[in-house]
Amino acid sequence: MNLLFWNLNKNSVVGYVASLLLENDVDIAVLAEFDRIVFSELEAATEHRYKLVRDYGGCEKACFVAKRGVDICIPSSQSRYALSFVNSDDSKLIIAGTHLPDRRNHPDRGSRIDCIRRLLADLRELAEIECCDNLVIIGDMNADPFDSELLQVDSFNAVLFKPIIDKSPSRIVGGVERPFLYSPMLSCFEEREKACGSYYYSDDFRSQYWHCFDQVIVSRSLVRKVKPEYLQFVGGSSLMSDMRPNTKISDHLPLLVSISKEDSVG
Amino acid sequence: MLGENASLWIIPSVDEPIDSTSRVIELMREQCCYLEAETSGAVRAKFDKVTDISQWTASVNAIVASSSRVVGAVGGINGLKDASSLYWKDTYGLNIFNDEYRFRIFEMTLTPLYPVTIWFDEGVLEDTRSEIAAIAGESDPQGRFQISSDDQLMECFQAAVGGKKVQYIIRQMLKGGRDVKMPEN
Repeated sequence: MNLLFWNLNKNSVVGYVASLLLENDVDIAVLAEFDRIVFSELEAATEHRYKLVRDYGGCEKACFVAKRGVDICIPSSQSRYALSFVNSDDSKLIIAGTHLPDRRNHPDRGSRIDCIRRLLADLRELAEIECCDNLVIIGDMNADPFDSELLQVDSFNAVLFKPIIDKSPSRIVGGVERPFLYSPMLSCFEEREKACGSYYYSDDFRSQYWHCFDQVIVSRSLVRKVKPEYLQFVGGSSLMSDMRPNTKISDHLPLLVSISKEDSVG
Repeated sequence: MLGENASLWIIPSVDEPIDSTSRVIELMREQCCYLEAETSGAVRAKFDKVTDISQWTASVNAIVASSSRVVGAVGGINGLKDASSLYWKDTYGLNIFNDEYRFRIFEMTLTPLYPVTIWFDEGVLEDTRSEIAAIAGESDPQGRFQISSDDQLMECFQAAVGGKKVQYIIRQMLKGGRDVKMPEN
């Protein structure tokens, strides 16, 4: 199964989105800052091979688009996240799509952690109802893989290294067992030609320039099935300009995530 | 000036205190019944405890509570219930739902006495912030409001459920989710 996440920077980029979906044989896409996307146009641009997944209007910050034939529904959503349940022939999957509060308006990471805790509570509740332990959280976290939002035990409690979650599914802190999630994103945070993350900005006094805000994290059952990649090209066109994402298309690069049926990642 | 052996105790009346939250659950559940009745069961609501959100905090409270029980035993009052559990604190949420979908309008921490803290879904708050601030005062930076009475709570409830987003969702639920378009951002 191929998943896509892309923050569209409120640009009118239907053609780019359609090309990405078709070129990469995406099954399910989550879009953020999609204000200027006309979904009927997107459906037409994909020759009606993709459709907007019905939501009741609870989530304004992320939406799901799925290949026709994919059995997906959104049983629960809040402003910052929507939870989808995917039922395929051989497996069930719960996918949370999210766009967490940004750093400019919410410099205190407490806003993001607050939101993460609610997302996790709702996600676990849905996982219990559906008896499903294949959990995927994908979106613009407005935090890097090594920030507190991802690592803190009362937040996502994500680990960055497989041997740790291989050894134990959880850690006990303060007498409470906290299940681990796994972030495969370090593999995307590397020195490459041009893009070294998904989002570029520079601060005044201390800057790392490239950030991996667009992330996927998964439950233990998917650790060796998940493989993320930031895309720099679509339809033969570069998504980059002047060594950073071309803001006329989007200031974020799209994140493509493949989830294999069998363990395939070492 | 207090006399050397004067009692410093203040004995409260056994009548229900005016800042009691004892009616909150009843009031909310009454509103849940109204929604179900007025939509012929197409849209329902539930006011119930929210699980797991403050698991970490709960564990700390559990440790503190167990410590206080140990201290109590040393004082020779074995067998008595720990009174600290009488001053409980729970998180409740108001959800609207149908057979396919659920949306939480707000959550609140409920204690036996007002004030209680309430926080709304971000989109709901965006629609109704000025009305809610006029009732409950300005929020903290996290968007949480302090509510001081049943009347204030019900006024905030009315503002929230009358807001654009909640009305939109209820309308979609009544339509059974047909022809749903995303709301404007």
